[in-house]
Amino acid sequence: MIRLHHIEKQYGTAKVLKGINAEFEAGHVYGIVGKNGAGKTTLFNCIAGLTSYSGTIKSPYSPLRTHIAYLQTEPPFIDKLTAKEYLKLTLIGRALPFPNFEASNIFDLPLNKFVETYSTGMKKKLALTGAILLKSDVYILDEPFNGLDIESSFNVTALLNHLKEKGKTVLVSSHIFSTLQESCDTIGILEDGCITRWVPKTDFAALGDELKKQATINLHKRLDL
Amino acid sequence: MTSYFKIQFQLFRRELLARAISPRLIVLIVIFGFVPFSNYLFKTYAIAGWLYIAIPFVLLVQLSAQKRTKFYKSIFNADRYRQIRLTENLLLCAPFAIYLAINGYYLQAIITIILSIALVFISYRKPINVALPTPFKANSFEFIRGFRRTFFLHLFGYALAFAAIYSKNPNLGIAGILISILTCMGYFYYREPSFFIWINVAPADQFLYNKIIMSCVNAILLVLPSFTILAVGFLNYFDVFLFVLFLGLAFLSAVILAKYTSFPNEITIPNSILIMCCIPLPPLILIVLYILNKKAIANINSLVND
Repeated sequence: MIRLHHIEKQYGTAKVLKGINAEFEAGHVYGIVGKNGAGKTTLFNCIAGLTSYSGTIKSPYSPLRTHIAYLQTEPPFIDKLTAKEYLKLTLIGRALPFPNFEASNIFDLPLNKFVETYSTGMKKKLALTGAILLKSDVYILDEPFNGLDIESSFNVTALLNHLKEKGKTVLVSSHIFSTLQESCDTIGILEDGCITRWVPKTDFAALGDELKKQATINLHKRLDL
Repeated sequence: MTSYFKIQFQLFRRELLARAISPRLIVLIVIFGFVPFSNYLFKTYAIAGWLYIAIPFVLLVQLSAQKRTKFYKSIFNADRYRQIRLTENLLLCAPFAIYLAINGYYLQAIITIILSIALVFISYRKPINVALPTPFKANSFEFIRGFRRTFFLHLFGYALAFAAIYSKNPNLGIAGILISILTCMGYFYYREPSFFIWINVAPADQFLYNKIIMSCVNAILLVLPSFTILAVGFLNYFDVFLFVLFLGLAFLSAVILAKYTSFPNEITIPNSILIMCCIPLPPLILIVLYILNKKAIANINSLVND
């Protein structure tokens, strides 16, 4: 189990995370929702060890970073590298052997092409393929559905369920609520730097309605309708 | 055209100020430091004349980057574009060409001027989407991307090695080796996204050690054609070529360490100066390597929050 205790993060004078406490068990998929700028990516960066923070993160893995596969919102790539070279680079970093890339190419990407020639969706798929190849214990997927076509979105949902069955700890964020409804066990609401509540699967429908209502009320107010 | 150069000057000034460096100080160093430094270089190293072709050439190539030229082509008409490019190229190579001419290196001075004119018409890095095969491992991404962008500079180095044999001038061959090694050093001015540091399981010291060893092997691979040609052609100079190669690898290692000392920011001016101080005093590089290594380990450890 990964335990977050009073995680705080500040950029200059702006406090982005204001004391987050959470527990993430293996074999579960946790969704994190929140408005743009609520701190989802910052929270994921803290857990992944990509940024400094105050508070403690306890886990059975040492160091936790090396047991995490992290798909960032905008996956970083290096120009003039082919997709296959990118995958190899991530695997070498984790000291893992090379698999059969053709067989592992679940999204049927042209692996011998430069990554910079890929579309946004293809880049996302490539980064996701890289994350899967790491065969980690913990998966942090920040907006995995962004830029994906319908078929690939279904694949990602199936993938999340597969990871759960394999006993992995999965943290996922998405702006597409329906995708989280299908794959998550629990959804955490991140508001103003705090996780205000955890919603169990049984209450997802109500949560969806609530979020929709909130959003549209605000819109109606602003449009003066 | 005046406004173009005014903007360029402003950009340069802002860049210096952002790094807390006084632009006036830089101007003074360039004006009063260039001649004494050049005098020292030409007194100490016989290949300095060829080095003064290589240095402006590398700088001119930067000015010919397609990202830059494409932007200017979209703003200026063809005549004005060529006028601007020619002026900036000539301005850049002028101190080198004038110094070479005054000191009797007429051939080198002419080559420098020809290069600055020729590069007006060349805008490198055409969008080639064919992945040029390289002999490097995927984790030597600096070499893979660098080689695909600048393979022609290595070809130029090999051509110099051939020219050295033809003209029976071993110094020219040394310039060829230096071009390849300087090009390799340039690969480490690229800063990869922090993710590629984060993904490594190796501790910082091991990560740096692997990076340096692999980069030295890759650099040797790239220098090997020039080195072999020269070793066969000038057997008596074998030890000199070997010394140049090892010194080059030491400087390459220093650049790698300097990069990770300030990563994810650019290599700092003080570290660049520290490395440059080793040019007249090569044994100093060992101390510099030691200092930079300690700093780089501390910096990498601070990047990943384990």
